[in-house]
Amino acid sequence: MIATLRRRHRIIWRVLVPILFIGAVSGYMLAPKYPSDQFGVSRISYPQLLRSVVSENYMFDLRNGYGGESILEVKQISAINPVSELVTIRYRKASGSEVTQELGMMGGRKKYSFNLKTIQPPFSVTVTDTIKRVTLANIEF
Amino acid sequence: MSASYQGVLWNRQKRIYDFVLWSFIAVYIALFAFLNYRFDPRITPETLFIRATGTLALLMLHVILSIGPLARIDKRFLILLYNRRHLGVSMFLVAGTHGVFNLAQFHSMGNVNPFVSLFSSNMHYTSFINFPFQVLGFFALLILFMMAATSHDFWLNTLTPRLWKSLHMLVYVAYALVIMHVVLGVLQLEHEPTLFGVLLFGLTWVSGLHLYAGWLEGKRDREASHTEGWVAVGTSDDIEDSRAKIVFVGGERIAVFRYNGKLSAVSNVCKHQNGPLGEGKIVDGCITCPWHGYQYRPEDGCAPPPFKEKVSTFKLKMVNGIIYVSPKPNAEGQFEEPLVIG
Ligand code: FES
Repeated sequence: MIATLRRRHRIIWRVLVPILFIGAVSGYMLAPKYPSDQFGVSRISYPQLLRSVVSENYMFDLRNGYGGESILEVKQISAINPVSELVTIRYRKASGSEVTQELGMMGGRKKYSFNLKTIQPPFSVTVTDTIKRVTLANIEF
Repeated sequence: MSASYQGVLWNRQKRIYDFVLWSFIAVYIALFAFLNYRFDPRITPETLFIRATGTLALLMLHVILSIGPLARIDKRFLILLYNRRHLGVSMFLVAGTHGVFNLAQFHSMGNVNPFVSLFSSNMHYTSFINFPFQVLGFFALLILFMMAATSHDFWLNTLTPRLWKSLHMLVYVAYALVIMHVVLGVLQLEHEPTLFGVLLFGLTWVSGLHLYAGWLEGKRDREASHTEGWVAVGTSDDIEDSRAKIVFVGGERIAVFRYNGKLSAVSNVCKHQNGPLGEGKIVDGCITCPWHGYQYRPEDGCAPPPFKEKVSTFKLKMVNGIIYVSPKPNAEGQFEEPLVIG
């Protein structure tokens, strides 16, 4: 390499390194902490279907888990291909206060199950594309 | 130093290299698919392929960016430079596949043009964390495409080495775009510490290598810039026959070659891609660049006919058995009487 090129390389990297490290670390730290659903239910089936609600793009099944807990099964039924699908639930606590809770991301899968534990209808469920910021579904149980 | 251009310069060594490289690419994708299906059988084939090609392109880009500084730090890595262009073009093809699949999966099913969708589906251009990360990937791919398309020697000569090199240094911009594409993309969706750790390791490795190589060369250049007047090279015994010794003079490097009982000095910088001539040797009476084999006559720095490349020559003298080189270059291609050492 010639001296000018060597100097240019040095300058480029001295500028690039702090920018990249600050960008990478802050990007990671500021990332929204969606609850990651560790609820590995892909191979488990819950036969007791309580209720089904269908929207344009999704089918929502509320089922009974083996321990009596509520299971919300979300299935994509249209050909849309969202980059991210965040499932949120809104329900009223026994105390009367309204709670909005993020259940988790569907992670590009066509079917996902969430453990609602003791949450029972009435409640509403929303699916949002967090990248495009659009609501993909909003239903009431 | 080709008189005409062939589509791609392949030889047996390059064919083997490409075979090994593409076998690795195939094995990586197969292994990635196998492990993903094993641990997460719900993943769709499209998502899997997008992830496999994305991670593979990122890995290859890290390897490519490591080769330059490694070769500058330790000569033993010079051999890796020889096929870097093939590696670069292969990496672009893998990254391009990742881009095309992404476009098809996420932007082609609506009623707008996929490219319009790519730029308009997420309009948070003023936000950091919600910035449209796919756009970053698109521009990185555009740079990689320009580099792959102009990687042939025809473009090197058409664009001139200076412009060509500047264009190819955009790879650092592409690297920065790719890093932010990953940080603002997959790391936002999957807040995985392992994923972030691996990315940070790669970033530290590449930037560490570049900073260290830059520091090392800066130090050498600074030391060399203090030398004024004739610069001592050493004795003729310090130079192996048909080889050279490189000296640093005023921030530039001069290669002093020994051959047939004579010494000649030329600029260390090859006209092709700035390869280090002093690390090559004399073959058939000509200095032969170790990178791609361009040749120059040691006495006048001219490539043998029909080629036209020329490098500068330098005056040499011997005082009490010590060889000295003049820091002032002659005009490129100017004949300089070799120093006879007997
Ligand atoms: S740099 Fe390519 S032959 Fe010298």
